Formats: sequence, structure tokens, C-alpha cells
Amino acid sequence: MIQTENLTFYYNESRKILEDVNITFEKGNLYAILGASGCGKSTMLSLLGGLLLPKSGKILYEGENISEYGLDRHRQDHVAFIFQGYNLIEYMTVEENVELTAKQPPQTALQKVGLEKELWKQNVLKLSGGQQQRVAIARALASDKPVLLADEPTGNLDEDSAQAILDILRKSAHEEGRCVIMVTHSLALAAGADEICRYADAKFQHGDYGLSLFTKPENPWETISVIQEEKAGEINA
Amino acid sequence: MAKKRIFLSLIRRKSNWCMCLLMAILATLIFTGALIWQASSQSIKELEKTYGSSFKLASYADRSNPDLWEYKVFDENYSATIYIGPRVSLEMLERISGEIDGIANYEWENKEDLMNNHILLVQMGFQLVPGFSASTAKIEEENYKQWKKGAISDQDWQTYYERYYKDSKYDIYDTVAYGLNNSQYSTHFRNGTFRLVSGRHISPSDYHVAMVTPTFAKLNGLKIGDTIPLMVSPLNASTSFASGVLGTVDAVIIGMFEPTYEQPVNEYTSERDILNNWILIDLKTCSEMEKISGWSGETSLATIYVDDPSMTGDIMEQVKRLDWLDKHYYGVEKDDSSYHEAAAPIRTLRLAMGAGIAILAASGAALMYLILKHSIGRRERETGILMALGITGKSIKRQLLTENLILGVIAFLFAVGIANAAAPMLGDSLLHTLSPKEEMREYTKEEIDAAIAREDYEAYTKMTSPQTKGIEAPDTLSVHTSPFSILVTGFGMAILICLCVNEAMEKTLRLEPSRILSMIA
Repeated sequence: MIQTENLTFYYNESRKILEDVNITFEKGNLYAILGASGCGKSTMLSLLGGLLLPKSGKILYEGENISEYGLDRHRQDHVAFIFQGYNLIEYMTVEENVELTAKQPPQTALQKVGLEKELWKQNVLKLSGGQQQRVAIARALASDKPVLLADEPTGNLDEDSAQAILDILRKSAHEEGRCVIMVTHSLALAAGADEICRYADAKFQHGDYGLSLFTKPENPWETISVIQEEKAGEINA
Repeated sequence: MAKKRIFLSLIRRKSNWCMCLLMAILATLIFTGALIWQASSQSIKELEKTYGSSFKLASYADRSNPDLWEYKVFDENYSATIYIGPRVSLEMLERISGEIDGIANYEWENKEDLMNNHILLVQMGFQLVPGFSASTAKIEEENYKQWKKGAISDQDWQTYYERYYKDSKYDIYDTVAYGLNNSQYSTHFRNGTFRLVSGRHISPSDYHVAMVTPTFAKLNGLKIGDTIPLMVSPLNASTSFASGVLGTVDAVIIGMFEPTYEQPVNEYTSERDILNNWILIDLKTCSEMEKISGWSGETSLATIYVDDPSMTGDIMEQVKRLDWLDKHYYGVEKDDSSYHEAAAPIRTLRLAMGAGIAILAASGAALMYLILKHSIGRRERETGILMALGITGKSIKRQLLTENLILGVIAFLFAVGIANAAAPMLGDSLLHTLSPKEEMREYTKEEIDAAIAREDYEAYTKMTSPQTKGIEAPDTLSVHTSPFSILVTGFGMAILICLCVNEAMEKTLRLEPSRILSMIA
């Protein structure tokens, strides 16, 4: 659905954040991009979402280069963001925030995320972190876009809320056929994804993970099939 | 949703209303200044028409040429050397206005007063508003009674009293008639000293017509259409207190006029100085009455008014070039000192308003830009979120532009309302500050007696003379809101808002949303 071709990006040429990355994300799957804090995971998300322009290489959506398609249009038509900081419009209510780019009634999306009806007319600043994150997810779901990009969606949440969020994202991918790409530094959260993309220093790093891994050493990104077991905790972030 | 975003932002963001208030204050100040500026410009144009669009045609009284002078004995009490050279006749003025285009009117008047074209009247049997002569007549009557009783000797009576007693019988009928060619365009009507009350004005084609005041008419049971005999006083011929009537001319009353202010009148005010006793007549009749009183029936000074003030110089040159006008005896001189005098405070006001508007507009624009930039800068996060959600920069710009234009419209409507109310008061107040008018006041007998006692005849004359308005800047500016001024100011404000929003948004929209979001994360 969405893929990169020799994608390279840097803010400073002496330190490349991404170098010749080739990776594909398909619809109907929940992906977790795992890596150390500040390594460039969010940058990858921004590139996929058309918030940044690659220095070289391409990002293709359904085979079409998004730069040629137009980054504005790509954001408008293909991708929906869920931010770690929620990034809701502060002077609007819950419904009004969801309605911003909604192609379906906001109430539908709000029900999906399980937000209580009494809160819908409230200003978003009056909600808790978990509730605000649900609003942000509802906003993304209501936009009806095929790709969901979630940047640390559970970063500020407790374990129960985080799990609830993960369930919503998984449902969105499996039941609604979306391609959901989630950036996280949480191993536990990553373990809930269908596939994990591990990134470190723009290159793949071998390590003793103690798991069965599918590796492609020449590609700094690799897709790892995770054995959804207790040993997921042994993977170094 | 775009319209809803605009609506929600307008009603929920308090900073928008601060912006609106600032715009309203700026627009009010600028619009008020613009209205006063406009009114000042209009007033100057009108003043120019009243005072500035005229020139003098005068005869030279060349003292070095004895042929132009004659020693004349008027009576046993008075003789003088008088000018007998060429004067400005009515025929001359009619010929000039016929041969040269652009002449609106001509008058035998000196702008400062009407003294150039007056005829002294002794309106025997008519009631006048009593003044000095009425008071003197009572004193003389008392002296007469004293003589009859024998309290005053026959010798003293003949030496000191009899003449004044006889004169007092005529003095109480003393008034003046002023000749006007086209009264509506004469100075005292144009400068607002007089106004037409009923009937019509004297026009150039009139002959043997008069205008009186309602006070005079009421005292004498007169109305429009009645014939009034105008009795020429011998005082025109000399300065002696001769009695009698030199001749009478009948005139039909065609209109009534009145002074526009309450003239202070006291027992020292001469009847002929009391405005309500004045009679206005047509110029031809004035000339005729001048001849009756022994004069030439012509004037030494005429004022010629032009239609278009900008053509005054050109028309003056045409008059000078008239081959039948002997340059040795006549002079043509621009007469705009009174215009400059009257217009000076208004020019100052207009200049001040112009400078004020320019400064306000420039500083207001700069301030509005800074505040808009700050306001939009504070919305960078919101802008970044909207862009990240897929809303285009164009749409966001349109939203901000629409929001600020709506605020601008509200501010402007507020400004128009306030400016309309404030500009007339402020304009008049500023005008009065720049051209303080000397208050007309009524002087007491004690004040006048004191002036006489100290032989301060200048003060005495001032206290007892009519306090006509003369040449003055108008009292009010007549501020009007024209659709043009609303359009220009409103359009200017809209352009300013568009430029400011565009400029302020430029930097933000050039940034990628993730940069914006990371800046405020």
C-alpha cells in the first residue's frame, strides 16, 4: 500500500537519519516501528505522512510517488495522524475536533473509541489524557483514510488505557482494512502489532535477541516476525 | 467544516475580539480624521467661493492731478475738496459682466462693511428700533420744555439748544439703505450675517425694490408688496446736521431679511447702526438716490465676483485688457485677503487632519501588522495541526483572512457609527480652538460712560458700533459622511488586513507542519 524506495533523509548531511531505506507496509496490518528515543522513528512517520520531503528516494502510495501526487493531497486523501501529544484544537469541543476532517458522522467514530456520550459536547481541555487520545484516534478514524500513522499513541497513558488504544488500532487494521503504522518505544506495545520494524542508527544492528528473527543485513530496516510470547521482553529497544 | 472553523474561532477566541477592538479604535480615529479633513476641504471651497473668488475694480484718486478735484461748499457749515474724476459706474460694471465670461456678480461693497454703497435716510414718520437719537430726542424735548417754562434763556436757547432740538426731530428717523446688485451673493448673506426670512432676494434686473427686516416691518405695519418711500437725507451731502428730505424714491418691498445673531443695542447705539433698521435696495436705485443727494451716482470701488475661483486671475487680466477701460484712472486688484483670513484656521485644521490621518494610517498599519503577525504566530500550532490533518495551507489562509475581514467589517461599522457622532463635535471644537471668535457682548452705560470720560474713542466706537460678523471662518464644518469616504476607508482597511494576513502567514505556511509541531512540542 505504502512503500519507500531508497529513502534517505537527514537534517545534517554528516548524520543521516535514514539511508536507502526500502520498506513496504500493507493494508490490513498493524505495524510497530520500534527504536530508541530520538533515533528518527517519528521522522519516518512524518515522511510517510507527507509532513517532510525526503532528501532522496521515493515514497510511493499505491505505486504513485507522493511528491508528485502532492504532499497536501496525500495528507488530505491517504493518511491520518494520531499524535503523541494529541494535538487537538483547544477551543473546540470533542465533536468539533473529530468533525474537522470527518467523512463520517463524528458520533460513529466516538462510539468506536468508547468515549462517553456526556463528554462529546465538552471542551477537549477538560478531558483526561486517555480521553483526549481517544478523541485524537476518533478524529483519525472519522477521516476514513486508508493509512493511520500513530506516533507514540500511548506514550502518556497508563497500562489499561494503552491496551485499550492498542485494541482500537488493531481493530481498525483488521476489521476496517486500514494500514496502521505505530511508532513506539514500548516493547509491550510493539508486541501487540502484527509486524515490528526495528530501527537503529540507520543500519540494522545484529544483536542477541534470543528470538527467531528474519534479517536482511544489507537493509537497515528489517521486518521481524515477533513471537508473541514472554521473550519479547528480551529485545533491546 | 471550513465555515464552522471560522465561526468557532471567531466566537471562542477572545484574542479575536481584542483584535477587533484595536481595529475599531484605529478605524474610528482614521475615519473621524477623514471626515473632518473632507469637511474642511469642502468648507475651504465654499469660503473661496464666498471670499476668495472676487477682485476689486477701483478708481484712482490721483491727488497730483488737480483736474480730478474740486472744492465744494455744501452749506454754511461744511465744505470739502472732493474727487470729481472717473468713477466706477453701474453701466461700466454691466458692460464688464456682459463682455467677459465667468463673472457671477458685482457689488458696490467693501468686503469689511457696506459703507461704500450706503445712502443715509431720514424716514420721516416711520418707527425705528430706538437708539442713541431716541435717547437724545428725549433730552432735547426736556430742554425745550425748560425753555418754554423760562428755565433756559432765549439767548442760551438760540445759541446752544435750538439747533440740536430741531435736528433731533429728524435724527430719530435716521437709518441707512444699502445698494446691492444680487443680494443673495453679497458678502453679508454669504458670510451668514444676514438670512432671507421671506419673499425673495434683490436680483440684477430689479429696480425700485427694497428688503426690510421683520422688526422694521412690524413697527411700521408693512408687508411684502407694500411700497415704502425712501427719503434721502441731506447728511449724504455733508456732515452737518441739516434737516429735511432731499428727495424721495418709492420702492416695493420684495423680501424680508434679518440678522442671524442678537445684536447688542444700548442707548449709545445710533439708529443707523442698528441692523434691524437697515433697508436693502437694488443698485440702480442706490445710484439714483446718490444723484439726488448731490453725488455722481457712481462708486469708487466695486467688487466683482467670479464663478470659478481658479479663473479669478484670468478674468482680472481680461478686465485689464479692456481697451475702453482707461488704466490711468482704474485699477484691478485681487481681493483674497479676506478669504485667506477666513480660511486660515480651516486650512490649519485640514493640514492637521491630513497629517494626523497619514501618521495614524501608517502607524496603525504597522501596529495592526505586528499584532496580526503575533496573533497568527500564536496560532502556528493550530495551523500545523490543521495542515497535518490534511487541510491545505490555502484553506487555512482563507480561514484567517475571512476571520480577520469579518472582524474588520464589525470594527469598521463601529467606527462609522462613532465617527459620525464624534466628527461634527470634534471638528467644530477644533475649529473654534483654531479660530476663537470674539464674543459679542452688550456693553453697559457705565462702561461706555467710562470710555467717554477717559476719551478712549476707539473703545467707545467699538462699544457702540454694530458687531457684525464680518469676515470670519464658519462656525461649523458641516461634517457629512459620503458613500465615497466609507468606500475608500473600508476598502483601504480590507486591503491592509489582506496584506497583513498574507505577510504574517507566509512564513508559517512555508514551514512543514512537523517543524511547526516540533517547535511547540
